[in-house]
Amino acid sequence: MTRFAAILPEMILALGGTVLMMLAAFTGRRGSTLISKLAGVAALRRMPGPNSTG
Amino acid sequence: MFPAAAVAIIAAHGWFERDHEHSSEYAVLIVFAAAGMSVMVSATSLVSLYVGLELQSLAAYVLASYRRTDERSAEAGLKYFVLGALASGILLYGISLLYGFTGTMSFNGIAAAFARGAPSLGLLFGLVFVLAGLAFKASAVPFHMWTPDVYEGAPTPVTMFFGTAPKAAAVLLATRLCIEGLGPATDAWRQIVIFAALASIFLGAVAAYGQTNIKRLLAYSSINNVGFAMVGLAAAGPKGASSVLFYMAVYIVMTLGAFLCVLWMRDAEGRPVESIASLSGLSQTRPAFAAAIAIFMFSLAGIPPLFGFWPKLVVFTAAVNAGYTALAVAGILGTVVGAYYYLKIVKVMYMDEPAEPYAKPNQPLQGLLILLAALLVSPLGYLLIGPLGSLTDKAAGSLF
Repeated sequence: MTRFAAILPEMILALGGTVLMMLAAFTGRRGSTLISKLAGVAALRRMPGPNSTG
Repeated sequence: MFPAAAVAIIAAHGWFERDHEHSSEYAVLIVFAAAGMSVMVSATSLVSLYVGLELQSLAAYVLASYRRTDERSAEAGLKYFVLGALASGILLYGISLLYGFTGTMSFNGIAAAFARGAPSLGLLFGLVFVLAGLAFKASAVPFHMWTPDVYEGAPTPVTMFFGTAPKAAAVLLATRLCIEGLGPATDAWRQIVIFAALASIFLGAVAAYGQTNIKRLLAYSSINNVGFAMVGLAAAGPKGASSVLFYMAVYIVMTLGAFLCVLWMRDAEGRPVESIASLSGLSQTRPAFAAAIAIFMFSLAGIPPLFGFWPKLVVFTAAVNAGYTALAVAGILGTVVGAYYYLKIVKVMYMDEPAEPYAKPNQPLQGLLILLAALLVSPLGYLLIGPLGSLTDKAAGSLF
């Protein structure tokens, strides 16, 4: 569990990016504003984790 | 790094929207690059170092050529990709040598191997190749050649991103690797870092003189600033590592502010303008905008009482305390040489005849970000010395 906690911030960013990419593929140019806002939040919400990725 | 990525997303939205070429991929690519940077700076083994670096780089190659119909953007992307692939190859070769001679990928294991006695020739070659690969990513001299062309050709919000977050990530990764993984071989890597630092400071300062494009000028400024950060790295030890973190934190704010101003530069018809000559007489047509640019330029030059002075003082103090007074003196000389091209911009804005006025921007959020960055690098920034210093000391302390 501790090991998982160490990579949680990177997991959040990578999974968040993947979800946003799928959303972008489905919404096209119409969704660019929403996706930009969500991506901005994802980048800012990256929580500082323990200093190890392994 | 992450606020810089968020600002790159927020600022780009208005910039691309104006030219009706905004699509969702941009923000997603920045998030992937941010994930890569996150892996890079928290890596404790050569494998995670490489995976993080490639995740960040692959997103960056696509971002550089984001404007598909623009020849310059495509050229920037291609150049970045080809030279980036070469740097990745050099880095991988170095990693394979380190692994071959130590039998481990972890930074701690490599440090233990170096601590066993005088390092073998193979280990030293591995160290040199890995540092060369990282120097490319941080655009330190002599691996800086891609920077001006890519910065000029890439869309301005992408250039703003390249000039801040990935550069900081590369410098922080180099610091982590040198202190944690190559700590016992400090005498070996310190010579390389000192050379790269001095070469970056002076080449960045001298090559910026003749530039007429503000993005190219800021590219050379970023090369110059990496040199100052490396002065802190050369000092090694907890104070040296802390000074690198402090320097990069303030550098990100100064560079973000400068690039946010460049994003606002548009002619009467709304087309982006990048020439330094177009700033002519800006103080008469747009005094607040000119004042903001002047603050960022003075701060990047390290002129007191602006906050940009303090991180330079911190890295030079770390170098002097580590016994590298000559390096600090050379760095101070480099600061004086480099100040010329920042002051040239201020001179153009305040002393030349007004050129064609810029279009009035309609981006209140971007204006707010410029104001915030200007306040942070103004003398008010000195209020942050305590909290920022304790944060960087704590982060640097975790490496020892």
